[in-house]
Amino acid sequence: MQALVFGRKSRLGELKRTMGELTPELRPVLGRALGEANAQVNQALTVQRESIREREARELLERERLDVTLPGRGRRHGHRHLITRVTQEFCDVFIGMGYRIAEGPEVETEFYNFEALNIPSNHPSRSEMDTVYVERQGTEGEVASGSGGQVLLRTHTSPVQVHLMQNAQPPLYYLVPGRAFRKDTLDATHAAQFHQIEGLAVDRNITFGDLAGTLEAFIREYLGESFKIRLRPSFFPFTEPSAEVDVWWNDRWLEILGCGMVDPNVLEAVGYDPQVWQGFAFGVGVERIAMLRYGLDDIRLLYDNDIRFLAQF
Amino acid sequence: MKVSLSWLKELVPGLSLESETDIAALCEILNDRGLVVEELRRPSALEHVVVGEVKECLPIEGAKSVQLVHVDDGDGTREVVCGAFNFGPGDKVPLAKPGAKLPNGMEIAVREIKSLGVTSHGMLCAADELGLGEDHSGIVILAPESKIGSSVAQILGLDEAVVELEITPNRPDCMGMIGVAREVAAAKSASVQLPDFDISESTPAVQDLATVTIADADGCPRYVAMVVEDLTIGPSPAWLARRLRASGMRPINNIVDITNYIMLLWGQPLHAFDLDNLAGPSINVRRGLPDEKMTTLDDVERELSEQDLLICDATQPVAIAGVIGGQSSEVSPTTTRVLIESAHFDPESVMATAKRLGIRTESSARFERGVDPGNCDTAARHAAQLMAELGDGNVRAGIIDVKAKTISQPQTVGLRAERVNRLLGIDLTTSQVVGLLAPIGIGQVSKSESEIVDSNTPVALQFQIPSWRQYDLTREIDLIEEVGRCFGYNNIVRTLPASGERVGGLTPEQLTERKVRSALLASGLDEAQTTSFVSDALYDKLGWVDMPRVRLVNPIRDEECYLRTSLVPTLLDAAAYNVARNASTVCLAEIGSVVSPSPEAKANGDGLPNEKRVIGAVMCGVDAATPVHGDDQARPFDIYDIKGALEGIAKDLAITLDFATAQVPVPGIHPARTGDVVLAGIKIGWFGQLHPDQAKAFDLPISTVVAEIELDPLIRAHLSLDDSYRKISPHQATFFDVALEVDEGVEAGSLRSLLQGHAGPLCQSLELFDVFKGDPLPKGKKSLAFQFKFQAPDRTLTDEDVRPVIDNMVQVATQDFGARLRSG
Repeated sequence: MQALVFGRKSRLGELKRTMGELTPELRPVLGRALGEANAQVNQALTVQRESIREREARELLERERLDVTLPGRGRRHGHRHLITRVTQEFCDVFIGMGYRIAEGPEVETEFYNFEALNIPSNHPSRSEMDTVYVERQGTEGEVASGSGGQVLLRTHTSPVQVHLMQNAQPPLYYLVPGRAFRKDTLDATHAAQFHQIEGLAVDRNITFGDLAGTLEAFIREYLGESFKIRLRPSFFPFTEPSAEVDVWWNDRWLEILGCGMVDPNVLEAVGYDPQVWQGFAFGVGVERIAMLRYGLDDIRLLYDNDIRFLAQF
Repeated sequence: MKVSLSWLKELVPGLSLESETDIAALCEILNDRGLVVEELRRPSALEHVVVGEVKECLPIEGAKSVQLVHVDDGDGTREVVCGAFNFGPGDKVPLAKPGAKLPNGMEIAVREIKSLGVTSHGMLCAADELGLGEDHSGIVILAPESKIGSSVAQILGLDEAVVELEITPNRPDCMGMIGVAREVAAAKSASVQLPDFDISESTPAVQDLATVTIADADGCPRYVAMVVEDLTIGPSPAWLARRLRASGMRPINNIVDITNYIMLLWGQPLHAFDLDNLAGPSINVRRGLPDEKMTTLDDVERELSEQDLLICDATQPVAIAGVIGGQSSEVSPTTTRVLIESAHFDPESVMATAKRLGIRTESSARFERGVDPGNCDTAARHAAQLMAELGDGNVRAGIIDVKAKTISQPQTVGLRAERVNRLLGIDLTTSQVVGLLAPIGIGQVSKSESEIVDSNTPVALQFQIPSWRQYDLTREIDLIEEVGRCFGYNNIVRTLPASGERVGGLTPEQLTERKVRSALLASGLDEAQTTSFVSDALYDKLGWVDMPRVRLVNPIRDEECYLRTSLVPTLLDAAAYNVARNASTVCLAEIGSVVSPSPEAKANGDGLPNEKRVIGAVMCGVDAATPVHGDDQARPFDIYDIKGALEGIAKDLAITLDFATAQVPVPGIHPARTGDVVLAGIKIGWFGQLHPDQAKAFDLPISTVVAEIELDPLIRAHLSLDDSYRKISPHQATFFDVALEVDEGVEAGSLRSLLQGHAGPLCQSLELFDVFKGDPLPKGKKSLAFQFKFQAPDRTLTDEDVRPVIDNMVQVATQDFGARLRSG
């Protein structure tokens, strides 16, 4: 191509050879003209070459085309259990309100699970109908005085409250998540093993209004701004005043948790002066919240460990 | 507690219950007062359900469980097929005629039962079918004077609204209509209209007819008895039967019904004894004797204990105090003289006996919570008056009122308005506090009377606690709750605690735990939540026959009588659940608590087992790859998959886990494919492939691998790291490959540890990158190829820096493992 255009036998070459035949005056004129022609041709050639290269590159890449709709190269991916997810979400809202998280053992003594929480020794919840007891370790069957009584599976995460208060001075703002056990038979809404989150705030001037406001703030943050709650007077041995909290859900009030101001007896049991310190506590079932938040209709789904369920979260 | 609204209105005349809105407002009041409305039963006309009179009951050939009943419905006799047999000719029964629609949705039509050759022209109804509770034991028998053809709804009180309240254990007063009325009246600023009754008494005096002695004053502080004679036992009048029905009780006869009515009204359980069947006639309240027995009203012979409080006549027990009456002195159709018992029994004693005997009655439910001890006489008088009126009897003069122990002393409790405000977050004046408490009977003691003033609370107001609340209201905090309740929980302004100086957040340990959880997910493990309870069968299936266990005293299910000591067995169960549902890949992990027996350490201690948190994992089936890309075929899991998951945790936590051939293989695990997981020289867990026998037992694929390691040592190791930044060397790294020929039995990990130990400070990393067996290596030999990375912070390394280190390592490897250098 180069030779064809610029070579000796080319048209431009021929013109170049005629240069000698021209007058000295005309030679530069022809020289300039030839130079311009050369440049133009070169330019055209460059453009052409470039375009060919581009086309070839394009064609090459086109031949390498992949079907983007084929699946990605798989990596197995695990899923967080809904109980963990809800627990973390719940805790995170309260962390935002200045709370810390505490955990404790699932096997407890009567002292921590009942006595320190002002639950009398004849209270029905302490019966073998309601509480699962564990064989004592060490000395066979005997309960040494001051040892905390029988060994049991905690029926709520409240014993952690007591440990906390025994080991720290107020103010305390804590959330206590964990597994708890009651002798319920498993059905769509009850499980013998369930997860509870207990909240505890102890300070100098914390009020019942603060309790209601905190729970309302949580519900709005977690379920949505439009959700409303109401409090109903209730009775628990470890709080006074006590309340049940309902949330307006699908056109009716649905009970979601129990709460109240920490009973002075509980404060005294851990050595706090109830004239100085006061606080609130609440306990909520994680399963209950999971059912509300994620529309679950059967609690058993949470314990079947069916991967078709697990993989949804 | 079922509350008939018409009855409630009778007690609170100011109450308006005309419209749906009124009823909804009432429900709101009840909820706000802590009397939770569990259910609102709206009035039901029960059209086409009428009083029928049974004329004849005929057997149907070929059918034993049903009979053909001829019923007169007022317009004529019709044939109805019925599956109950608790009635006979002459009984008045509810008849649902074709066209009726029952509360449970059942629509009644003429039904031809071809197989029996009969046609049923309606249905006779049991209580549950009419929307009256759950009783399905038989057809409802209506009062004999019920007019044939008239509306059943009216007779049974179904045509009025009833709310069912859940009463908390601290409110025994609201186990009676008057208590509920008191709350409603207080909320509506109305007043309670207490029943007004006149009683006319005649000689002889009751003291001449019976005697009462209390041998156990703690169990029975007060016993009131009255006698009514010349009674005629019969059915209760319609208004009474209707009220009992509305309250969920079955009318029996006028006397028994009156005792129940008084209980529903006043909250005071009563018992009526047939005076002619009381030996003495005397009442002695005492504890049971050894081997004592009695037959109770429900026709069950009960073995009594020395803890049970009993009502006895001169010879034998005639009732279990506060729980249930005895058969021997039961009011029967021939009874003419009764002794009315209106007593106060100790709540704990009644609770213990009711629990021991497994009997829960309307009576025990009330006594357990603490009945008003100040009201025994009123309840008895009212009952006597009604018996005289409805049973045509004569009330004998006076009452026996034995007060064995004072329990109803005037009780005052101090309350500071400042405390109320500080605890509730409201701003009430003293007079507002007084004004809130007065309507529920908690009155301020006038200044002159209130001498008991707590020294450090000089401004405390003193309040008189009414007898019906004396078990509940004993402390200042109890009154604060009452103020809050009467003020309205939902009227308290909702605030947030002042933020103060606190900072919320997770502890370093909790943050690390979340990291571990994420690492498990990143390794493709779905998080599971398995049961804490395990059975012998499960452990046996895994071959864990001798594994130490922690036993439950009273398991929920008998076979699941241990607390889990490992997450592996239940995770295997969970995997099997999924495999049984055709899952080809199941990867599960759980972080949870497990226990182990603590035999020695805690003897004489708290008796608790050791408890720790562990990570359990199971992978089974095939690694579901994306075969469409050809290069990654699905592959059965092996131990390196689960080991990789553990290494993934270690990487995320920047800690080093070591893996060594298991010293003592875990039972149920492939003995040649299991290893210990070691952290800083201490075993913290294990991993391995499920033994083929166990895989079979669990119905799991052979390619099932498991692991379990302790969580807390990982967290501690992570938190003890120096986590400050390490400078990146600007100088080039030198890479050096060494291939060593060793006996096949040499563990790569051991050789690697040895090399690592002699690699010197310049060695940045050491990776095994090739394992090779076979030609040209001699039989029984293998080649392990390692890549070393050397780098110095201050210079580029040369061959002279590295070569002596390599030579030394090879020499050591030759000495210790008989290694031969193949290349390097």
